Amino acid sequence: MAEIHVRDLHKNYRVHVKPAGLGASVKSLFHRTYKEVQAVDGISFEIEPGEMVGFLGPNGAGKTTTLKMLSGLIYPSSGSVSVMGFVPWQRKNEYRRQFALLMGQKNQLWWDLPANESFRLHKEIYHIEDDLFKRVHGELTELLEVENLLDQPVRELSLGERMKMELIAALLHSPRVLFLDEPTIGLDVVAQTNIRHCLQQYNQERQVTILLTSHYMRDIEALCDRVLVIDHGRLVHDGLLRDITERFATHKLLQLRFQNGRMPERPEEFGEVTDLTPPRLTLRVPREQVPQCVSHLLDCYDVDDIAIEDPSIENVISALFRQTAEQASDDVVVAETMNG
Amino acid sequence: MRPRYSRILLRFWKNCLLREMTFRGHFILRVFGEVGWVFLLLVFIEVIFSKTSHVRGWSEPQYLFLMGTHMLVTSLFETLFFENCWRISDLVRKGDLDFVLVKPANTQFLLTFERIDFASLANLPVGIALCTYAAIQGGFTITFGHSVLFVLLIGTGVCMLYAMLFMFALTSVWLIRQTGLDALWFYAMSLSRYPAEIYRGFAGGTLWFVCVFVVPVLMVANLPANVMVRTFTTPFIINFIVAAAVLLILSNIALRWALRSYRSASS
Repeated sequence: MAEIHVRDLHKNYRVHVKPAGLGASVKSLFHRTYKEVQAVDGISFEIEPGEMVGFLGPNGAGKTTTLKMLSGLIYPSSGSVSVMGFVPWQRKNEYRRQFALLMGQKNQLWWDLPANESFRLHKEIYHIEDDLFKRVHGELTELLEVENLLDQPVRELSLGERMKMELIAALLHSPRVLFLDEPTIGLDVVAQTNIRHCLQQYNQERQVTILLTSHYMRDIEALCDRVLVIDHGRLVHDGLLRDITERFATHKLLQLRFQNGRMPERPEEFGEVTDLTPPRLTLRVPREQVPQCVSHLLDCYDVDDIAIEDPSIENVISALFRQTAEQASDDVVVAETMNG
Repeated sequence: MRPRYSRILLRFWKNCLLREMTFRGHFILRVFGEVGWVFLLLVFIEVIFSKTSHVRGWSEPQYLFLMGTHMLVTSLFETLFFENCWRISDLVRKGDLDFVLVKPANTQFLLTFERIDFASLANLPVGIALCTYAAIQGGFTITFGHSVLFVLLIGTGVCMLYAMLFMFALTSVWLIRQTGLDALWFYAMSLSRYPAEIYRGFAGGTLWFVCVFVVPVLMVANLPANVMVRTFTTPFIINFIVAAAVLLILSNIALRWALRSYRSASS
């Protein structure tokens, strides 16, 4: 039985369209124009217990909206969700005791108090027994190396330190399912690695199910085998991270080094030139033309060294998003409704 | 497993106390502000009663008693509920309501009790002192039964104010930016400070009707004070308590309704 089960989930928002300018603003006091935005447009997936899944997509793709529906914060327009057998937006206490939501851009700790005071409050709200609290609290503070910061007011902590505290607050009640929205945003590389490491270890030790969004490809590459790629509210890929290249990369990179300094006079005939520093040449070639292009180059020139590479996943994904964005602007995704 | 609400409450209050102690200077200034305001009001009453012996049938000791009662009600409300109602708009606008909603405890409980404002508590002993002084000055005979009813009605009045301001605060779910709560509380407090009898004539009468039957703020201090130092009728008291109960139930319904429309500011 899947831990998270999402079927044909939709979320539409009605947003007020406000044209620029004072005149338009005054007009909009009396007559408002709304448009319907499909933030999540019919996505379905399942996540097994103990899986760590990455949620990828550009800004406004619907990642956070989906996480919010899974956490029961907002109601969907249609579709069904079951997490550990619960319907999230019914907000049953039994459900809320078993999951955690961590948002990199928001903080829930009491700003003027040491993090420990917020942890003690969580202990009461989640009804954590003394022994268990002591043990988990000890383990987490050790894992994240923050033992000496526990009695400092949160406002005096650095962003990275604060994020670690937020993570502890989210994990104190030993949740079975963890939703992480940009947990490493704004952190330096050391702090990012630290948090990543902690999540990895935590997932291995406790077999918690984790759904994670991040803008940092590194996070996803390090943590998740499986990714869900969402764009304009639709799921465009559900599978292994490395399959993304195979499925969506339209080109390969050809790196060549020529002998004797003799190089093609018009390299653009073979493909798009991305780098030209004699005697080296890098070409971006459509995948189906690679064999033909390579054999031609090898036949006509003295090639010293040749490498054929896939573009980085990051590049593939950003190209993919650009492509779908162009499509979407042609589609009619916006239905205008008037409200007097 | 039910959440242990009493322990959550204690922890909330402890955290608030810790926070107040961090900002000691701010706390002391606020206490002075609160108490200083009372002395201004006392001067105002003295001026009025230097010209007349009664205001719409209220003698000076009766009037002072009403003022003391009003201080008890407002001090309790401000200590327990004002900050909590006030921050709802902020929670909605910034999307921090998310953290309240994911907690395995009653959402209205968490929203209602998270903060306590200890500085506002300063007026409680001042109110008690004023009531005692007025009672001695006026030579009122006060029975034990009346005192119990007095305390009960003050509690009822505080609950009533809470339910109304809580519902008003919830409108921020739709309006997003909602800073009218201060003004509303100022009106409620200013209106309920005076004897209900002063609201007469067309404008005053309309105001009286609205503030007794529609937005029942007027009686929160008047009714308990009347019970102690003037006259009262039992049906009115029953109606008052029923109204408070209805408002509390409505506040819970309003919360459920508001949460259906909550959009959660994006992160």
